[in-house]
Amino acid sequence: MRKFILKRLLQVVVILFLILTILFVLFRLAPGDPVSRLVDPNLTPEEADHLIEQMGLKEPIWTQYLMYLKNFASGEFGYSFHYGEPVAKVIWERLPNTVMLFTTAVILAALVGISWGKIAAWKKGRFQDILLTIASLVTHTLFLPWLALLLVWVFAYHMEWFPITGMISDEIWLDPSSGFFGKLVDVAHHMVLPLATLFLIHFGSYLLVMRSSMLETLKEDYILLARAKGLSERAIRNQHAAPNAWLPVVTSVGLSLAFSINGGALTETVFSWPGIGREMVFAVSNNDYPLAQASFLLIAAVVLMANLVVDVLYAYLDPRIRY
Amino acid sequence: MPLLSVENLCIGYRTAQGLLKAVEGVNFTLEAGSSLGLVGESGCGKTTIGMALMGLLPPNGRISEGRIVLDGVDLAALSEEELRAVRWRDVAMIFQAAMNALNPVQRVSRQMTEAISTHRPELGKEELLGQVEGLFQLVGLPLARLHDYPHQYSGGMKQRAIIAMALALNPKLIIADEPTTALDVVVQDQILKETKALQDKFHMGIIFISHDISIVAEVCQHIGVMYAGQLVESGSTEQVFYSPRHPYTMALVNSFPTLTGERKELTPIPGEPPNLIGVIPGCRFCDRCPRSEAFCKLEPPSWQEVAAGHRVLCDHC
Amino acid sequence: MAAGVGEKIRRALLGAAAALLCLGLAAGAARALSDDIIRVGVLEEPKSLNLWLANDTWSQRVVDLIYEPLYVHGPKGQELVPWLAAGPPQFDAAQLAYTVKLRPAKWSDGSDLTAQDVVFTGKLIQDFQMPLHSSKWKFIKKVEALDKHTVRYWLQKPKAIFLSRTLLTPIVQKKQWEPIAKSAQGAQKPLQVLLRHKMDKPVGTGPFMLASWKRGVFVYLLRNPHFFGRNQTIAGYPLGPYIKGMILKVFGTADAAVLALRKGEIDYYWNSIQPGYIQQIKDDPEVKLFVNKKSAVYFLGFNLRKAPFNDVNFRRAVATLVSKEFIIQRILQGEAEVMHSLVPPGNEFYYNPQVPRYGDGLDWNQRVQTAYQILKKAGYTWQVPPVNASGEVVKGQGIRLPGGQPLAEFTILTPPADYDPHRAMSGQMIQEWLRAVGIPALSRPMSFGAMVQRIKDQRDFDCFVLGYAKLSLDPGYLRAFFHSAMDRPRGYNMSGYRNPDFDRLADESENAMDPAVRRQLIHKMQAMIMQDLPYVPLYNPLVVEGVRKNRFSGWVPSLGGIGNEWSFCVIKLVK
Repeated sequence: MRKFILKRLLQVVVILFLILTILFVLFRLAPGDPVSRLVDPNLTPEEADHLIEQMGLKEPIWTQYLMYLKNFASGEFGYSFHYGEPVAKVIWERLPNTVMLFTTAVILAALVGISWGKIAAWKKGRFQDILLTIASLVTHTLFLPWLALLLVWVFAYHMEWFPITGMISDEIWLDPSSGFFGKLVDVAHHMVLPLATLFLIHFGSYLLVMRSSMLETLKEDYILLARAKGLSERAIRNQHAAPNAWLPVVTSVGLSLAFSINGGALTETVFSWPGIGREMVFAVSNNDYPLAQASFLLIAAVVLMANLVVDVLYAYLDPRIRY
Repeated sequence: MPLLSVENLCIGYRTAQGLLKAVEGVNFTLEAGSSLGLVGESGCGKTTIGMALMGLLPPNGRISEGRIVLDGVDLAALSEEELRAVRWRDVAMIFQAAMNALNPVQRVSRQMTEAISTHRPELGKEELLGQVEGLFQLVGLPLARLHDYPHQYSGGMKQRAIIAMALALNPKLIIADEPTTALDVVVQDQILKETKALQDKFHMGIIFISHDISIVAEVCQHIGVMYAGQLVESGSTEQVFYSPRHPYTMALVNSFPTLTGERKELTPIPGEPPNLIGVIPGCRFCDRCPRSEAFCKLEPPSWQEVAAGHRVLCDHC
Repeated sequence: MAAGVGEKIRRALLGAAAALLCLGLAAGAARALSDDIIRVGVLEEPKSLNLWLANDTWSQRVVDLIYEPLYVHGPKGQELVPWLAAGPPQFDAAQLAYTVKLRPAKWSDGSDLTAQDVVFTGKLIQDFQMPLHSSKWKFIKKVEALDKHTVRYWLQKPKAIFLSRTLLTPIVQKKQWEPIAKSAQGAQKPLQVLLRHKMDKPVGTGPFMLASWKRGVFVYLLRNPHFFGRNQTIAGYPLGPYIKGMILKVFGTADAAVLALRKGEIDYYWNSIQPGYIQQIKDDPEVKLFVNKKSAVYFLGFNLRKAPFNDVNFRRAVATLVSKEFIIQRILQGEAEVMHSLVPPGNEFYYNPQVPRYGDGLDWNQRVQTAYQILKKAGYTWQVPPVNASGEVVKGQGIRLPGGQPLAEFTILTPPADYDPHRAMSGQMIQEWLRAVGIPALSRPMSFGAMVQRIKDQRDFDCFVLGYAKLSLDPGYLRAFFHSAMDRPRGYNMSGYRNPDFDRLADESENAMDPAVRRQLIHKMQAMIMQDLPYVPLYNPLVVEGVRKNRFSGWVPSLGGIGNEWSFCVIKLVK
């Protein structure tokens, strides 16, 4: 096992290096440069050239590449052209917000999706199953911004239960008397609608995966044996069927969790959530190479690590798998 | 009073094409401590009978007629809750090891103790483990392997574990459905012998379900041959295996090699059994029967008692 | 065992989620902050408060409230109002020098604004070749502090933009920036180091100063207690600010911002409200709308380096076919004004209403007939002409160039609909109009960066629809757009218009110090451009903004909307 993990870690490093290089090339092949979006007749061609030169983009490409590698190796990731700040700082300011929202959403959607999927499979063809399956299919195909706006319109604008988008309210954060708990409640208050939206959009896929996996499991003979042994339905479902049905779901949840760190530009935009997803889209369209490269690399690293963790978890859940 | 008496058992499955009468009018009895082999091709209804005895028919299956009386109790009339209590305590089942009968993600020990604790919740962890260890010794499994996962066992070991599990609550009746299929011949032989010895020791009834009449003949005192949902011949092993009277039984006897290695010509049976959806007026085997005559197709055959206890469903005998 | 643990974890997490939800529901937002702090909705936060990096609209809005120039435009537009300066600049024609006297004013840290600060700012721009600023300082030979409150500028040659742009440069504090500049100058890439300097506490002379900034969420500005203008009347406005401060709240979408305005979470949405929302807001009794003109232009541009766009007759025919009124009514739902020249009519001083107009007031049949006549006279032929023998308009087909070769399909590049639906749809409309007379145009939306690169850097395009959302009031951009010297990579002469007469006029206008003379030249330039039509101006959107009626009053409308320094200096809490 340890050997396996070490080997895989080595692979991860090699793959990351390749991704690093590919990203470098890719962003430099993209049309435009960091200055091309600044369309202002007051910016003279000389000034634009000077800016490009100062950004280090006039150096030979291999010099830029070495510089880029050096920045990564030092953990600095360079400076964002757009913000003029260290990339690591820009990312760390936004990443926790994204993780807070999206990871919670994935976990919530997965937990509920899995337990409801279990029930749907168990009650196959009956009312609960039909209701849950239809609900999953419908919510899964909803257009996220539309759903988000609907929820905001109903629950924030009309009912006034929640604030209209945002992550924190200035009232509370500018008030020196509000303590940690008050701030926590404030964030929770802001998080309800985005969380609900993400949950509604995503629980269905877990439900359907769990349901079909569970249905496969229910055909197995060990389920029949469990019945023959006189076990209760609940014990059969939770102790024999579900643990086997989890296996394929683990991969799906693991990867969703990994991808949750890049958030979703769409969700973050409609809910004015200061996360990394929107920042990445901006960085790409602004040709902010250092920021874009670093955030993509971060995602690649997390996904690769998540794959590794899923593999290890698999071995834990399924004793047949050993490395 | 026999341990088990099955009276005019009829079982149907609801299918998209119509009602499939998987078992029709089956009668047999089994004395405590004796064994009956149910033989037939796949689809003949032998497994359905086994499942009906456990009360484990699939959702679309139903006992439409008849009684299954075990020790004076009609299982066919019990509720699901009552049945659950009967299962394993009174009627246990030996599954085929090659089928995934053991849960791959649970340790064998847990799957064993679970069978006991479900019916005897008063037992503590220590006691349960003690009992399981006893069972392991009984079937000749090394205690060191008690906490292994199923995939760490060989086929023979899995089979032994399953047998041990069936014996756990000392049931009155054990149903063994193809218990040795997919095991190699040597292991198969060993397990059959041990099963027989255990049966003698614990004096339980066994219903042995197999497609292989020669294996059944090895273990069982009685044999019932099934064809297309009906019992077509029954009697002692002597009678049915060594002097079969039904043309189907004869064909069956000739289509398997014997365990003793006696050489003879194997002849497969040409043709296929009839579709069990709808009404079959005459003999069900007549299409494949070498002795069939015109009236066979039109009228149902009747039971003939050819010797004491040896009955055949054929008008030609 | 796995199941048991899983079950427990699941229970715990579901419990936590439920608790969170309850907490969230229970939390009510109480107004803890003082009432006279205005909440303003914006779509983006400043990218930086380093003045020299803050070159985008949203950053500039904030830094403009912190840093101030010597002169500003009055709210009515053109006239220059002395701000940090005590009065108009004194011109010494003999030496080609201007002298400006400063008002007594203080920085937000309490220290005095001095002539040294002004001199330092100019030198900083020159030394670092500061983007967006260096061109207006290139011709300054010398800038000098005569005394603590007097600055003198020596010009190399007369330049009109000295008054309209150089004197409008925001002034930074020498005390704060000198050390930064010193350390940057030693670096290999000095400008880069300067731009990367993180300005946590910008010290300015403006009415507001930074109190705190929660990244991605809000910027909190407080009234600058040292602001010189407090209790003074400038350009007829008694300045405050009367509000204690302002919070700029960031919204991801206009939808959210408009809802927040209507719900009362914000008092003012600092952006033009899209036509789709205007009706529902008009019906909202709590929100007041302000409609103002803007200094912007959206236009269709041609690549004059290529046939058939190198033919002025072709360009005129296209301009005749394009119905600006239709675009404004149908695509912008009436929230824009027609542009006939490239200088917006709102810029009253420089706008020339006497320029050639194309297809003005014509209906569709008349447009086709006029365009057909223009093209026919220029030698274009058709397989099926758009006007048949009996003079009726039909669908034209198979147009051929004067030389006889068929006119190949060409593209009209537009930004994609999610970036700007109006421009994308305008491109689509123009394509349809041109196709109706047999001109094979194809409107093609393209990502903004890629489009700008093709047009501005590579010059690889046929036609395009672009716009400048924020044109300066000084019409110097006419020179940038059409002077032949600007027809080079990264230059703004994207069309490749080359006309020595225009170049001469443009250079002359640049050096004309007398506004009246300059105005005449600018008029002539506008007429010449509309004669030659490298661009067909289309529309100039109106700025429609909304405020909560019950919160603040006294907004100052100006070219570009009510979100200006004047407004924030004079609005008062509604009692």
